[in-house]
Order: sequence, then C-alpha cells, then structure tokens
Amino acid sequence: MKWRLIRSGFLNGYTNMAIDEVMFIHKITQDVPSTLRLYGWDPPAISIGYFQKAEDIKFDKKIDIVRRMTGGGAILHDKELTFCLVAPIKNSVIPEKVFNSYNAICQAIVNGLTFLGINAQIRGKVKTSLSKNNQPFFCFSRPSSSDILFKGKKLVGSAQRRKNGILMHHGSILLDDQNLNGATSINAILQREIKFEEISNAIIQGFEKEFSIKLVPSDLTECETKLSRQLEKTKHLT
Amino acid sequence: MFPDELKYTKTHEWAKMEENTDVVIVGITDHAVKQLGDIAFLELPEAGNKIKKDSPFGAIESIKAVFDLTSPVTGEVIETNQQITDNLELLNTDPYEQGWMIKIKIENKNEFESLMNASVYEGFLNEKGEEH
Repeated sequence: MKWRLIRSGFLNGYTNMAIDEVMFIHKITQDVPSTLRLYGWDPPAISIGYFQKAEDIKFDKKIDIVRRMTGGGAILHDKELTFCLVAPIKNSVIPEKVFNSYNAICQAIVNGLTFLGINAQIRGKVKTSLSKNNQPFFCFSRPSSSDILFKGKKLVGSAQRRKNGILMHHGSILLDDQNLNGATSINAILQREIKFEEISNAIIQGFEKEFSIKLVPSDLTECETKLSRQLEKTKHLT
Repeated sequence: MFPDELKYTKTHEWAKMEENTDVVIVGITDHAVKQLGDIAFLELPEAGNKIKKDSPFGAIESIKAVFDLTSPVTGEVIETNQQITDNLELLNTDPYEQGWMIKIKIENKNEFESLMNASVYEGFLNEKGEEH
C-alpha cells in the first residue's frame, strides 16, 4: 500500500499548523491518499493543545504561539522533528480504537528509533494522582500512556484529533534537550548532533516497516497549498 | 442495555424529547463514555447557538484525542449543562440524567423520530463488534 510522504523542511508555526489542518480537512472532503508529513520549526514556536488557553502560558521570551487541532499539552517546538499523520480512522493498518491506534503509531516510531540504535519503549497505561486541572501545562512534563520513553525519560509526545471518520495524529520527537525534568532527546541519547535528514529517514523506515506501507515522496496538491496559505492568514495569524 | 425511552445516533449521542414540548435533550451514551476513557475536557455551545443535524455542536478530549460531538437534530441551543463542565465525572456516573449536555429547541420532529431506538442502537454496536 502506498501513502503520501510530505517533507516540508523548516517552516514557521502558523504555516505548519495551517498545512496540517488543510491536509486533515482535505482528507475529509477529497479523495487524497493517507499522508505522513515531517517537518521542523523556524522560528521556534509554542503550540498549545485544542483545549488549552494561550494566556496560561508562562514563558519569558517572545515567541510565536499556535493552536493545534489535536489535544494534549503545550509544546515548545525548537530542535525537534514533528510528524503529522492523516488517515481514515478505519484503515487496514492502524487499529480503530484510540488507545490501540496510539500504540501502533508509537510502535512505528519505536521501530524507527531502532535504526539509530535507540531502544525506546512505549510507556503504556498510567494512573496519575494529579487532577485534570493540575496537570502540568507542557506536554513533556506530563506523563501519558502514549509517551515514548528512553530509560524512563520522555522522548516523544503524541496527540490526536478525530473528525468525520478521519484521524490526525501529531507526534513530537525532541532532538535536543530543553532542560525539562523527566524528558530526554535524541542528541542526549546519541551523544552527538543528529541531522534532521537522518532522523527523518529513520522515522520513515519505522512507519514503512510497522505498517508494511510505501511512503512515496510527494508535494501538497495545488489546492492544499492555496488553502493552507488562506488559512494561515485568516485563522492562524489572527 | 440502553434506556428504552431514548433515541440514539451512530456517533453515540442519545436524544430525549421533553414531554409535551419541542425540546430535545442530548448527551452521550455510556458506551461512548467507556470508549473515551478518562475524559479531560468538554466544550459545549452557548445558549442561542443554532446547530444542524449531523454537524458538530461541541468537542470532548480524552487520552489527548479530541472528538467532535455531533448533533442528532437541527435547532437552537436553549440550555447547556454547566454542572458537567465543572464535574466531568458525571458523564461516567450518570450519563443519561445528570450527564446531559445540551437542550435543543428543534425545528423538525421527524429528525428526532428517525433516530435509532435502543434495540437498533444495540444491534448497530453488535454489528460493529463493539462491547456494550
């Protein structure tokens, strides 16, 4: 089975969120292939989860703030590989149920990391003593069943959106340390600075192996590009 | 078993017509609550909002996944349940009474009548192989 692979390189936060949203809307309304998009952030930005409030961010530097369509906590996107997967909820490779789908997608990432010699694990079900209102604001400071860990420290965070039969899954892979308690990064594990290309290739291999799919390098359609520019201006920049 | 006096949607909302009115109360089934797991956030519309059958009227988040809540009928929201937004646990403990979400003044009673009854909804879940 062939999926579309979009490698966007480094873009600003508004553009990144607009492209993901358009891919998602397009998948709901048009017959486009399931897609894995890989990207970085320039300049760095903070994304907040669908239900979070921008005024709750405590960050002392001026930075772009964007809202994701997916849930979960805020993320400071700096040296990071982000992926956005868009596919029908019912498809032949990812289980339909939420918990199981997280597991399958996280397993693809774990597979990818093994190509770099990193032996990571999925955290699995967690019970937290914190109430919902007392959860840390930032994703990498809060434990979740879908976390990918290395030696007990969080390396990858994930979140989803489900709408009209379509699944969007966001994942953030930390490439460099952010001095967060309980988190680690690819560079810290490998003791060297990984190239964006190298981690991207490993993750692509991980998805291809886990789901027996072929990721075909592609571009956004003309319509997606046009719509994402519009959405960036009308929604994400306002 | 699902309450016989309610109607159901394929997206797991329930709907109940208030006696002698054109008001429909909407919530989500205990099947949906179980599937969602640990519900963290809920977004409901304000009174006065117009909503359409099969369109989103709110959103709910669990396990960091955000889902739409889909309206079973067309009409105007006349009340939202403030109690559940402050106490999401009510969705787990009492999804069909205290866990109601919105009241909608409907335009077309046929939309309500055409929803699934309890046994059809149960059959729909069985067909999908889902536990209930």
